[in-house]
Parts: sequence; structure tokens; C-alpha cells
Amino acid sequence: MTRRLNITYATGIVLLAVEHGYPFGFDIMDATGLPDGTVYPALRRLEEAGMMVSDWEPFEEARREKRPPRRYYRLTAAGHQMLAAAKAKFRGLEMVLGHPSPGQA
Amino acid sequence: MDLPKTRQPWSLRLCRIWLGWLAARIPDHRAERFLKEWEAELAYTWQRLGSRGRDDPGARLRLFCRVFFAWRDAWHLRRTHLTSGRKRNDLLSESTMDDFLLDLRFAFRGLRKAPGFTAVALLTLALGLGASTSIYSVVRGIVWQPLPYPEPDRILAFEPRSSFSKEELRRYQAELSSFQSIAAWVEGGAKLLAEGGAQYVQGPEVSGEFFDVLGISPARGRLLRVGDDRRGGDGLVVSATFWRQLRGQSEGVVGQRLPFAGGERVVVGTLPDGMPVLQRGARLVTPLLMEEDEQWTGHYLSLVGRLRPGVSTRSAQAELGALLDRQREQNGYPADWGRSVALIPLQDHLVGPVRTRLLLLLGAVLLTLLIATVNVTHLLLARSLERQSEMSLRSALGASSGRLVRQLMTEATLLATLGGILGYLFAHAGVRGLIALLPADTPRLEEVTVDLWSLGFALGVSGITGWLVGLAPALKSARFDLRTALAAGSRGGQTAGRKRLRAGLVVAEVALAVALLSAAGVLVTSFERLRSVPPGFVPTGLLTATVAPEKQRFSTTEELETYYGELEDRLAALPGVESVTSVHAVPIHETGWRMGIYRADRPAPKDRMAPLALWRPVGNEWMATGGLTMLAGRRFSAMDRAESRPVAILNETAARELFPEGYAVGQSLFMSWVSKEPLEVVGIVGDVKATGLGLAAPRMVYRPFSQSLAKLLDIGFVQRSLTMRVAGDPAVLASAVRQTVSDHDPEAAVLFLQSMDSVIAESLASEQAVSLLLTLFAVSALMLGAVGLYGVMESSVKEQRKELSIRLALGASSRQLFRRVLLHGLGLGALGSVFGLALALALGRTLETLVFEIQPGDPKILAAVLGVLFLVAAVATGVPAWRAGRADPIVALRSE
Repeated sequence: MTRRLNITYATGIVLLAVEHGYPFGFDIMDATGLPDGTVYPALRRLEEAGMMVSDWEPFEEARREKRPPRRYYRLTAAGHQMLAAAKAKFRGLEMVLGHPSPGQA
Repeated sequence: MDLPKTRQPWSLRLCRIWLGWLAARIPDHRAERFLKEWEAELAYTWQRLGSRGRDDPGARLRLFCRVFFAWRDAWHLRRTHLTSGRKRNDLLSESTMDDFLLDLRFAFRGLRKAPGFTAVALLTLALGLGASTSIYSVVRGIVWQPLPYPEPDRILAFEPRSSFSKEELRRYQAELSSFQSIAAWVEGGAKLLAEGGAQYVQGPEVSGEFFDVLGISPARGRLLRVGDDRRGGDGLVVSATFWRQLRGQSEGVVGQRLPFAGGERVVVGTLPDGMPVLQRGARLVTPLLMEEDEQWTGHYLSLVGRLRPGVSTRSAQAELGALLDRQREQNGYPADWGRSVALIPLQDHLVGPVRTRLLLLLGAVLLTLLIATVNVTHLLLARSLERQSEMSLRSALGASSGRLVRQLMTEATLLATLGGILGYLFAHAGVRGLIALLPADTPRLEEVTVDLWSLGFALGVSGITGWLVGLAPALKSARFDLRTALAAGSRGGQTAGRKRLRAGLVVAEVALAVALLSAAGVLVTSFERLRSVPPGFVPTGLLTATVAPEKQRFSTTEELETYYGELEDRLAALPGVESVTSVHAVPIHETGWRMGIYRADRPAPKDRMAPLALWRPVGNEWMATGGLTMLAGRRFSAMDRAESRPVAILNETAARELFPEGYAVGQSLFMSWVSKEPLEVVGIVGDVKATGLGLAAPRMVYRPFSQSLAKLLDIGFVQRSLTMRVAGDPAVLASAVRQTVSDHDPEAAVLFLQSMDSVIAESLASEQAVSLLLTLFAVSALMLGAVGLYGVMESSVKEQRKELSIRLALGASSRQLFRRVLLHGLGLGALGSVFGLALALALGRTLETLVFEIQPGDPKILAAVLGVLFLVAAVATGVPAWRAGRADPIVALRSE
């Protein structure tokens, strides 16, 4: 179902993170530095609005590492449009993204 | 996950349990997706952490936080299921997860909308919970908190304290196999020399086994041990605070030498911070001389022992009892000899009678809290009346009665919890007030704190309170249906059941208030009786100063005599001083030393263990200055010199017990250690309550100082208490006395300086504190009960307005109406009083141990309580009753 979604700072950052190669939930949390409780609700809202789609990662990868498959997120065309609008709205959005250090969870 | 469940570490399992619980709150297919997604992230993170990361508590904490916030995701998933783009009225949803937070929000709103009610209810609860938490903190710190020694319940104390001799210690050590070690200790101190004068530092003198018995380890260096208590032993243990005060830092303590009057001492170690060593306010520990050939059999030591592993307190008590029985038989002592010696756990010994008093206070404050709770229940009931329409509407729209009950309970619990938190904050001030009120020598007073235990108590009790407060109104409200509500509206809203409930609550309040008032009345009367016990001397206008010079400066008794003679002359010259004399130990404040006595015309008891009497060297004017009553014979005079015949004056009790046939004057007795020659009894003096107003007077043997100096000098006890009779207020002379002593001898320390009136007052401070606090609670309870009664009568009158107006219109006089309402109210009061009296009599037993010469069920007190209650109830009922009589019938009828 598609719904109108406001472009907030949080949703902008999450979109940016997914575009920049952080497709998994916890990685988005690490990369964006947003409060832990904000990221997943934003992901849900974005997915419900049709800005993103998600799927389970390939099973072989996960089985090799002996863990369950993670859910990864991808931007749709509408999502890319929304991201562009967000970048226009929030200057310096690009610079917010940090790099998670190896040891962090 | 691949790991079998049992191999998963607990942190991981905890996270998974939390996620599982959250998933259960999510409806349909979303639950499975949520769970799988989160578990996958969790597993990935856990793997990535590696073994090193898992040990890092910071990393684990971060993970916990992250998983905890999964609830936001779960919340979102739930809500988007419910709504289709806009929020619906949550009142009608049966979903459970939002419920609690929703209830809480509504509860907050509800309380905010009625600020008057909230303020009164909150304040009442906060005060009640604050007082309860304060008293709880004090009780926990003093009574319940275990002593900070290893296995403290294995340490026993010998009773009575300060009444054993070194010889007895050796005997018990040898013959009581129940103990692995027994030690002796006595309260004392040492004079630390410094520029600017001598500083008296308090701390016990102990035998070598002392620290073995307590079982504590030093913070630095070592503690005193057997061998330190021999002649020449100059070891010393200090508290860390003392060292820091002295040198400003805690390093380099061990091995330091400190100059004391009586010789240098070497610090061998320090105590752990805050470790108590049985004497209150102790800052150092010195060894007690325990020489094998020491002849001294003075009975002034306190004994403590640690039980051997596997031995019970009871078998130790039995062993001691058997030992004492053997001695009684061997020496032919009277049947009651040795019966007062007992073994009790050290904690009970230290805390003693204070325990019962404190527990009484705790019970009283909880009862008062209960009454306050009932009052808040009244308020809530009144308020729920106003909210009836709201309740009925919700009920009609489908909210289950269970839901409504939960809502109301949440409100009550919220109110109570807020009250509990406020009460916890109040308790900080409350505890400080209590510490100031309680006597300074209350055992373990310094261990009282407001800590997490207090917070836990506050929250726990407030939770129970909230539950109680909410229960009645909630159950009543929930059973409403629309029809009853509409019908009740025309009658002013109170069903018969509600009226009965409120009446019942008032009766309960009155009953509790009566019980508390009775207890307070009994304790206050007891305290007054105790206070008026004649001490045996005249304390008003008597000032006493204990002077302790350095014993080095005296080598002969003449020097000692001259020293004190000159000091007494100087003090006599002070303005307002009528007479000056000396005494060995200040009555009531100190006990002094006990020695064995026996008649000269009977054979000496074996084993040097004879009935004990207090040895009391006094100046010749002591009887006169102190205002004691001579009953027979003469006082000491100048003709009783060191070289003349040794004389003694007995107190009434000693004379009666030693010479039961009478005519003690002229007879002789032996006092062990004091004199090898027999003492001739030259006079009998009235009893002095030397050990306390509430206790029987001990046997006392007075001796002139002139004949005791040799002994005192021998043992190096050169201090003395100079006592002055002063015209006017003795306290005024305090600094003048200090100055005089300092002029006479700059190196002498004044150990104690107080008027005898304040010595007596301090000895009663504990009883006074308890009766004061209990009166405070009782008066609060009475006022709360009055408010409750007033409230009930007020609303009763309001609801009966129509009926009353009709009666008025039909010719009833306002007097009749007044009487009717008044009798109703007084009837409630009377019923409550009956229950209250029954409760008071039942609880009277517990008070028996606390009261002095009074029966808890004393009818005069109960009558007084009933009288007070009648007056208060009359006022509380009278006002609504009077208003009932004045009701304007036209107005009342028109408003229907």
C-alpha cells in the first residue's frame, strides 16, 4: 500500500545509507548513528510507502557462515526520487554518514 | 540458530526471549517476519563480536540496548495493523500491549484534571510513606543490618557488660570449650600529646584475642594480637579516618610512633574504613594489660567470644550455666549468685532495648500510613462518584469491567507510586531528623543510611498502598451499568453498598486511631513516671567535671592529694559555687568498678568470687554536696586518713543484703583487692540509682578518697570527677571550669563536663524520643480519622438533603435533625472505639517490656483516650450536623 510520507531527516538518512551500500538493519544503525529505536520504524514506513523493497539474502551465503539469512533493503525508483528530494532539502546530508569500525556490533 | 539451546550464553538467550515476547504481541504474519529479521541481525552481530568482543561488557551493553529498542519496531508493526491511516479510539481496543502505556497516559491526564484531589491525596500519601520509609531506614540500619564481621551470628557477648574481671576471662578461656576464643574489652581512650595541649582520643582497650573474635582483617599492617597485651606492649591500631585527620593522608601509617601521655606508641596497622569496634566513636584500639601475675580482680571488663565451629549458642549457654552452678556450690554462694550472667549474640547485646522501641515505632507508623490510605480511599470514592457518567458510557460502549478496573487501579497505583517517590525524597530529611532526635549513644546510629533498601521499601509499600486504595473504588465502579447509573443519579448517587463501605472505612480508621492513642498514652505516662523516679541525690544545680591529669607527674599519694585539694579550692572560688567535692565515677553516666564483698565475721568465699558491690571512693563532702540522705552512722571526715582505720559507708541495699539482721554500723567487711584489712562500716546512706533511673540501685561501698589514693595511684587511675553545687544554672560555669582546670594544669584533659540534670535527661533520651514520636503518630492518626469522619458525614448529609428537607417541611425541628445526624456520627465513632480498645488491649502485651511501672491496659489511660476521641468526633460530626439542621427545604426540593 502506498501512502504519503513526509521527508524527514531520519528517513533521508536511512535512504542514503541503503543507497550507499548498507542494506542490512544493524549496519544502517551503525553507519547512520541514529538512535536505535528510530531506524526500523523508518525502514517500515519507507517500505510501506513503496520507497524500498526488501528480501532475504541468499541462503548459501548465510548457511556457509552458519547463521540465519538477514533481510536486506533496496531503493525503488520512487525511493531514489525521494532521496534526491531529501538531499535537496537537507544540505550536507551526504556528510553525515560515518564508517562503522570493525569491532562494533 | 545452530547452537543447541543449552550452549547459548545467557546474554544471547535473554535477547532471544525478549524478541520472542515482542513477536507474540504482533499479529499475523508480521510476527514471523519480525522475529526472523531480528534474530538474523542478532546472530550476525554475535558472530562478528568474536570471543574477545563478547567479554567486553561495553559491547554487550550496546547490543542489549539495541535489541531492547526492537520494541519500537514491534510497536510500529502493531499500530499499523490496527489503523488504516488514522488513529482510532483506543478505549475500545482489546489489544494488550498498548494498554499499559495507554492506561498510564489516561491516569496522568485524570490526575491533572483534578489538581485539588491530586494534591491532597499525593501529599497525604507522600507524608505517610515518607515517615514510614524514614523509620524503616533507621530500623534497618540499627536492628536488621548484620554486623560487618565474618559470620557475625557466631560472636556472643557476655552479659552484663562491664562486670567481669581479668581473672574471670582466664577462667572462661580455660574452661569453656564452646568458644574458640574469648576476649575482653573496656571503653577507654588515650591522651594524644600535641602542641596546644592534650587531645583525648576515644577507643577501646582490648585483650590480645579481640580481633580473633571479631574476625576482621586490617586495611594496612596488622591488628593487635596475643603478646601485644603484655607489659611493654606498645602497639596501637588506628582507624583510617583518624590517621587521615592527623596526617592528611593514609600512606606511611604503619610503623609511625605517636606520643601519648603514658609513653609512645607504635602504629601497627589500620582498620578498614568504617569498621566498628564495639565502642561508639572509636578512633583507635590499644592493648589491655593482661599479665599472668596481675593481681587485680576488678570487675569492669566486657567479654565477647567466638563460638567454635559446629557449636550452638544454646550449648555454650548450657556450658556457662553449668560452670557457674559448680562455683555456686563450691563456695556456698546465695541461690541468686551468677544468675544474671548470660550469653547473647553480639548484635542483640549491642542493640538491646532499642530494638523493641524501634520496632514499636515501625508498627505505629505503618498503622498511621494505613489510616492515611483509608483517607485517600475516601477521596477516591468521592471522586469516582463524579466520574460515574464517564464510567457508564465506557461500559455501555463495550469496555469490559475488567478493563475499567485495571484503569482505575492504574490510577491509584500511579498516585501511590508518585507518593512513594516523594516519600523516599522526604525520607532523607526524615532520617536526619530522627538521627538528631535519638540519643547520641544509640548503638549503630552511624550505620543508618537512606539507600536502595529504603527506595525498595518505599516503592514496595507504595505499591501495596496503591492496590489497597484502588481496590474499593474500582470494584464498586466496575459493576455499574447504565440503568443503575441513571437511577442513582436521581438519588444523589450513593448506593447502599457504597454508604456501608464508607462507614466501614471510617470505623476502621477510628479503631486504628484509638489503638495508637492508647499506646501513645501508655508510653507517655511511663516516661513521666520514669522521669520522676527519685535518683537518690539532688541533681539540680550539680555540675560535674572529670579531670584526667598525666599519671607520670604523681609519685606519691600526697602529691595526688595536694593536686586535687588545690584544684577543689580554685573551683570553690568561682562565683556561684557553693561547695566542691569529688567522686570516682559520675552516677548514671558511669558504672564504676565492682569488687567482691563479704562479711568479716564469716569465712572468705573460695575462688575470690563473692557477691559484687560498686567501689566508690568519694570526697568527704560528697554526701552533703550531692544531697544524699544519711540513714545511720556518720559521714566521712578529716579523721579518716590514710593511716587510720579503714572505713566504709554502705548504701541501703548493700547493708540490707550483707547484714540482713540489721545494725550494720560498727560491723566490718572485706572488699577484695581494695583493702587487705577489713573495712569498718561507719554509716549507711540512702540508695542512689547509680546505673539508671529505671534499674534497681546496685550495692555500693563508699570509701574516703584519702584511704583510696594508694590503690588508685598503684593502677595509674589518677582521674577524678569533681562535682560542684552551683547556685543557678550550672551550664553557665562550664567554660570557667575548663579554664580553671587549664590554669591549674595545662596538660590535664577534661574528659566530661555536664550538669547532672542533663546527665539524667540523656539517660532517658531514648524513651523520650519514642514517646514523642508515638504521640506525633497518634495525633496525626486522630486528625486523619477526624477528617475521614467529617468527610463521610458531610457527604451523607448532602445525599440525604432531599429527605431531610421533607422532614423539615413536615414540621421536624432543626434541633431534631441536628441530633439525628450527630448521633449517627457518634455512633460510628463509638463502634470504632470499641474495636480500637479491643485492638489496644491485644497489642498491650508487646508494650509491657517497654514501660515502667504501668500496665498497658490501665483503665485511666483508656478512659482519657475515649474522652479525647469523643470530643474530636463530636466536632467532626457536629459541623455537618449543624448544617443539616440549617438546610433550607425550598432550595433543596427545588434542586431536584
